[in-house]
Amino acid sequence: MSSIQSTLSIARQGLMVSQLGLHITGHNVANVNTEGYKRQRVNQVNMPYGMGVRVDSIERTIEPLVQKRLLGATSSCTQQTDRAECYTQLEELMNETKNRGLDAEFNDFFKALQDLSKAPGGEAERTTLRGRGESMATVFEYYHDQMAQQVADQDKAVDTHVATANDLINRIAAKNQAIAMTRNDEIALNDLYNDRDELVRQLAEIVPVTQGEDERGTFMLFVEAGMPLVAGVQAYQLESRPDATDDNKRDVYWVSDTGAAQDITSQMTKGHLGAAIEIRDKLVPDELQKIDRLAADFVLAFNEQHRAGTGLDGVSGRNFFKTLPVFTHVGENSQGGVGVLSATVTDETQLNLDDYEIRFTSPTAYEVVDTTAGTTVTSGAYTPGATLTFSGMSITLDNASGPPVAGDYFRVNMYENASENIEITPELQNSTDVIAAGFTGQSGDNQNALRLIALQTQALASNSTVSFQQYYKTIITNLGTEAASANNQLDSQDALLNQVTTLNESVSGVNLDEESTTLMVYQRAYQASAKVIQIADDMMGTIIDMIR
Amino acid sequence: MRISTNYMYENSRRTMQTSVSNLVKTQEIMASQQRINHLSDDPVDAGRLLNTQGLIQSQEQFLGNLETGTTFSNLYDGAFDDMISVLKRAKSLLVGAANSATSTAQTREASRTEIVSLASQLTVIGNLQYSDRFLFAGYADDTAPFVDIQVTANAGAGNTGTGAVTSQAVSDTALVTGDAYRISFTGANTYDVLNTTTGVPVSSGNTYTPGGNIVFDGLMLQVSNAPAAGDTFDISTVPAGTYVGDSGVVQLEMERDIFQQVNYTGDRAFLGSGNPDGVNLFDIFEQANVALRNNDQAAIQTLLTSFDKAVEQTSGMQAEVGARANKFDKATDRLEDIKLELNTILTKVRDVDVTDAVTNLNKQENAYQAVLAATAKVIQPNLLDFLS
Repeated sequence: MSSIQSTLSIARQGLMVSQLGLHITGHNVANVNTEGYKRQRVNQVNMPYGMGVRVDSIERTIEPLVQKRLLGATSSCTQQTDRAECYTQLEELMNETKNRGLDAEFNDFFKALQDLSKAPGGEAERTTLRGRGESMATVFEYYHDQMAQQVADQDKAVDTHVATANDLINRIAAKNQAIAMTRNDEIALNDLYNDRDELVRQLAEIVPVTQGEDERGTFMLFVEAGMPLVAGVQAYQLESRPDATDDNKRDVYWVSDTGAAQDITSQMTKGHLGAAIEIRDKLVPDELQKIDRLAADFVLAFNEQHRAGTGLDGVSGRNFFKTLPVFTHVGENSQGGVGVLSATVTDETQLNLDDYEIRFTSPTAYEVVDTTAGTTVTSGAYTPGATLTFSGMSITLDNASGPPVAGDYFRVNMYENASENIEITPELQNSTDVIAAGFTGQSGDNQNALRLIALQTQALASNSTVSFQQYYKTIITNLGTEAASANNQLDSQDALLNQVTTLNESVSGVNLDEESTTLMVYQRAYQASAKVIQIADDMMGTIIDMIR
Repeated sequence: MRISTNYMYENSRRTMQTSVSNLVKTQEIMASQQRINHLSDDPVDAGRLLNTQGLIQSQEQFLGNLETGTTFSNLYDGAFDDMISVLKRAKSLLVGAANSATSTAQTREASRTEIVSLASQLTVIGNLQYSDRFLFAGYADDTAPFVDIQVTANAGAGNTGTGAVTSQAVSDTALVTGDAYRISFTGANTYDVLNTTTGVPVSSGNTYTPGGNIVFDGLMLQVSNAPAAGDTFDISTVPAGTYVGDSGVVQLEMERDIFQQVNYTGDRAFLGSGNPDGVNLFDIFEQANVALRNNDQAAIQTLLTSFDKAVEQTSGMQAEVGARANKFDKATDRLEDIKLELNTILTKVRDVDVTDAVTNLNKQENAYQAVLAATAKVIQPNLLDFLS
């Protein structure tokens, strides 16, 4: 049995629901441009007969699988963007198709040598050759500086990214806190979820993450295949610390709730952080090492032939370029306190570009291993202050801060940083007479100049397999290929992200036309409910009038 | 599929972005007129481009070397020309002097004067310079390879006076014998001159004035201060045509790893060394000098063949230098051809096909305009526009 009262009550509920519908639709329209906003809709259900309608839930339209794919695609895309950016920079640095680079320097240097061979005693020719040598050294150094700068920039970026990630991690945990406290307000809750999703997406730009729930339904966020970052309201911080054996490198650490830190650098495979670490530790150093090797090969070969000749002042056996310094670096994970006191070249004729390691087999014994050839060069008993001489190099070690530990080692070679250290000798700087164009020291003798010219086409670079310029061309064409492939990968990652975003948008995005229609639907429903009230009111009036 | 408003805008933005970036790329190609502007545009062709550029540069270098070679050849050719005319003139003088019917001691002395001056011309040719380098000096090209007559004077070891030779020089080239002399002071103011080579006294009992000229056999000396009786001074002359250069072979790289000698050393060109039948030009001039001075008709007669041989020897070298120049010319032609070919390759690899680029530009411009028009159409309508 229905009463006018109950009719009024039903109409009132209709009004309320329509109003909420209008409210939510308005909220959707208002947030049409909000990053990460997901449209909401009112789910209404009918009450038992005579009791009208009620709101069951206010639902966020999301597709959890799409959300998950979006995180992965985001991490990959930012990583590829950074990689492509890095390759573009490297490529522009060595863009021989447009600018003068090392190849042009090599050409000019050997042209100056050819000119010297035509007038071996000419002061102008000698000065030009010296100038070309200096200019080539400058370009080598420029390449080195630019790449070193890129490495330093990426290292600083690790710091920045860690700070941003920590901020996001904290905010996600804070959102979880707010979600826990907002139990009943669905609209507020939905907005908090939206906010959290957006924060997680932003975090995914920096660190690869996976989102999930534990068995009790607590929100969990992990580094992809790694340590937890957020567990409910608990946030775990990341920290960047200098590498134990390389002050110029920062490692990423994960700090547990007890404060214990763990190195998780290797887990940073994607995102800005992944890209920064890959660029810093691999991409740029690989290219730099090739340039270093080219510089070292060139200096060793050119000096060797130059020493065979005699200067205008009758002195022979002098270098054109300064002897390169011996590179030494303490091995990774070395525990002991041994330091390199000095490292010098003792016999230039014995130098090569192999990698050597001085290994401590025990605190009192060492062996020197040529890791390139895989042979033990020398070994002996270690005493602090001992000088080890091998392959033209002489290295003095001492216990700077304690004795060595078995397993400690030093890396020693002649090529690292060669591009930074290549420069002409001070003697040559002072006098062009040093240039050894001939064997007799006479002003018309060009015999050695002809032999120096021949170095241009001889296979002296890259383990004596190709000429210097061919090796350099291999470096840059490889770089071009890598850059092209990085751009392609970026394109495909971008397309993938776009596809996932499209999918996501098609589920969760706001369409204004749709919302306008919904508005009209709710407006009409509201009007109809109002009409019901008006009619019920009229009916009440009729009854009251009847009584009078 | 459901399309959200945001996505619609975002999609339009992306399409426009792609369209614009294609347009910019084509524009860069058009502006630079180069197909490859970044290594990644075409890594393989970028490598070919650099290789070709490097090759062209080395061709240019070798062409420059060949030009230097040609210049040297021309200079030597000229020098040999001069030498031959000097030799021929000398020979004709000797032919005249050999004729016993027309020649007298007097005419032979006149010829001798000219022979001596021709010999010194030979020295001048031997000291030919090109941009401050002596062409006949071998490696030691910063010093004149042939010295003219030089006079040296040494005070005797047992001299007790303060006398010293302050200057020595040639006063008359034609009179110089090349012999060694000794000036001996018989008293503080008197001296004798002795030709120590022949043992014949030149003069004796001469009066010494400090700083005065002592002249004999084309030489002029000055002795100053106070020599004591018994003091001696030894005078010797280095004859014209002494070679102080070396036999250094100057080579140039005329093509990759092909070396060609470009110089002639004085010892080969003038002294006939390295050739078993070689004629030393300065020697035969000196022999002619002696023969004419001695009025020795028979000796003059035998010298004629030596001069013939000398002309032959020099002509031989001139022919050789001609062959050398020819070689340089041929190589120049060949290298120019190669360079042209390389430039064609370079153009193919590097340069943009303008028609292609313009067509592309037009296509992309059209596409861009279409995208803009479509976007305007898509974005404009809104349901709200149609509700009143």
